[in-house]
Amino acid sequence: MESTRQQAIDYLTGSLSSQERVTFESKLENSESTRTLLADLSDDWSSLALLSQSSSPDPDLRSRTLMLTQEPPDLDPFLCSDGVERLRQNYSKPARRYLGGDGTVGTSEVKDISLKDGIFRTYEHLLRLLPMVSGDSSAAFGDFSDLQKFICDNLPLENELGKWTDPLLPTQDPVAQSLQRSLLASLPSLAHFTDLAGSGKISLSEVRRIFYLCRDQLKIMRASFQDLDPQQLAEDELVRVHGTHLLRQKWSGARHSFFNQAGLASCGNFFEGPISERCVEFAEYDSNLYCLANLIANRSSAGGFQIELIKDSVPGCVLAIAHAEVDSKLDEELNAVASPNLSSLPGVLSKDACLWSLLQGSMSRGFPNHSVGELADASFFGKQRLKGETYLWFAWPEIENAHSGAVASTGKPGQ
Amino acid sequence: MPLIDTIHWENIRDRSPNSLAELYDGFAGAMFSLALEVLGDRWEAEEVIQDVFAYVWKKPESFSPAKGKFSSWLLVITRNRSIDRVRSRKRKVVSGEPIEVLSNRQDLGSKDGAEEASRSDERSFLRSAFKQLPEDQREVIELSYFRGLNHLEISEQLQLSLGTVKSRIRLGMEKLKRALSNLRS
Repeated sequence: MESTRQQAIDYLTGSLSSQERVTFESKLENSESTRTLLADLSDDWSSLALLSQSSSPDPDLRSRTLMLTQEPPDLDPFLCSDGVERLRQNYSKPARRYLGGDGTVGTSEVKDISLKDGIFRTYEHLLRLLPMVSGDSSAAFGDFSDLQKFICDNLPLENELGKWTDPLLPTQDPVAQSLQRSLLASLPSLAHFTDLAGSGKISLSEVRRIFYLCRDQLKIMRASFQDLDPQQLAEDELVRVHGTHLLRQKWSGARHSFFNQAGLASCGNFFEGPISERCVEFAEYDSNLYCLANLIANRSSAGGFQIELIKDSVPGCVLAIAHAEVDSKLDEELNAVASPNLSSLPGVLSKDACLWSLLQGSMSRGFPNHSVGELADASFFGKQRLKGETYLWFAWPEIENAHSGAVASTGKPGQ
Repeated sequence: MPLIDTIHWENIRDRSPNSLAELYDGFAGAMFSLALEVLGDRWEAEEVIQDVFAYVWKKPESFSPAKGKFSSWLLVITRNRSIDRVRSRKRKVVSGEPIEVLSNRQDLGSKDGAEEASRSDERSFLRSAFKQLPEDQREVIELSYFRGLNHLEISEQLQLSLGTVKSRIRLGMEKLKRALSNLRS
């Protein structure tokens, strides 16, 4: 029989078998001296942390962490609104839960050769960018010189975007939608921050933002074009539960831009739990959230916008909401964007209308038994203004029982 | 160790204004250094810190003074969450791989703040005491604490008996405890 001291060390170091752990925990419950011994050993064990090399967290982490103490906004006016009530009355979960990936096309279907080349070129550049902004890169430790050189030499994303996105028109054609998703979801914000990095105006928080945007952009492009990176796409198609914490980590306190100045995102009411079951589904969910964020970020009166993920308010589904205080004139623009009458839409809003049509396309894949018009009428997605606050949202089927499989985390390349 | 004590936990439990900010300012550096040492990835280390602070804020009752010092408990959960992430990467330690666990990286973003100044004596003393341990004891402690390997995994990695691994860890820890006790007294 090993001594209690040895058992306590084994317990602290995670070396007990599950049965031994249960026995030891029972001993802990019943023995004051064992508890005291473990507390002492725990102090000794924790002092080993001082062997770590001293590092300071980015000051931005402090503000993001302290956001946790802020009271989330009162969403009752929205959740009790006519729009959400309509959804409550009409929502029915699809017969088979959509796991993403149905919006994909082959690059051979892109007829414009220069555009097709641009897709591959951008994807390859971003593949090279990702390790330069990852958490173990020199940029993540404050040396931005290699990143700046790489961006200046290889990645004029703003120029590429200008070439490809003017003009763009809303469409439900799958090939055009795959292109627009690749160009308009996360790429504009990524282009904004890489341009900042290229000009040397960057800090650790922007490097981190580039990392998340770049990873998302790669994932969205793979999910949009099935032959772009088949090997990694196969990984993305594996069952891997994605939790809401992944969205909170990347959106909380994030600056976000859509062809204009950046707005600051914060996360309000966020339920904790799974939100998607595969990377390809998460890519589609991400893309939809980017569409909402892109529409609201530049229109916020106060420069900030909130993202909320609400479960159980409408049984069977999760509501993703982006909202901000918006000037009535700018709110009118969003009414026009969300209107089915696109012929009256001013040209400057064409990109915004494309974002809305991307959301429509995704919703019709998620709920294939309804037309886009029916989904809009039943408030599966929509836009609403309440007391000066503009709300954009979409519903997504909840995960009742997550499939067995790996759990995604930041370190996984395919996440 | 920085002066993080039960009073900080009580303030958080009681939702005192600025309690989380005070805890962050007093201890986030130590937690972050540990998470970064284990993970080697700044963004993941930041995520761990946010996760731990969120956990402490939402479930302060998870700690009780009967479990020991609040600062030790914070470091235990920071380490455990970091190790969980390392394990989820499924990076197996390959036999024969050079064993250099503690990093020599340079963090250009690192600053010497007040917290760091108050901790540096204890840190350098512990490092010095650690260096004086026999190499075989240092090795098993590093693999256990910073890589999260259990005793069986260490015995396989180093081709030692389980008993040898356990005794090396125990002896090493006892020596460090004596060294730290001398410093604190």
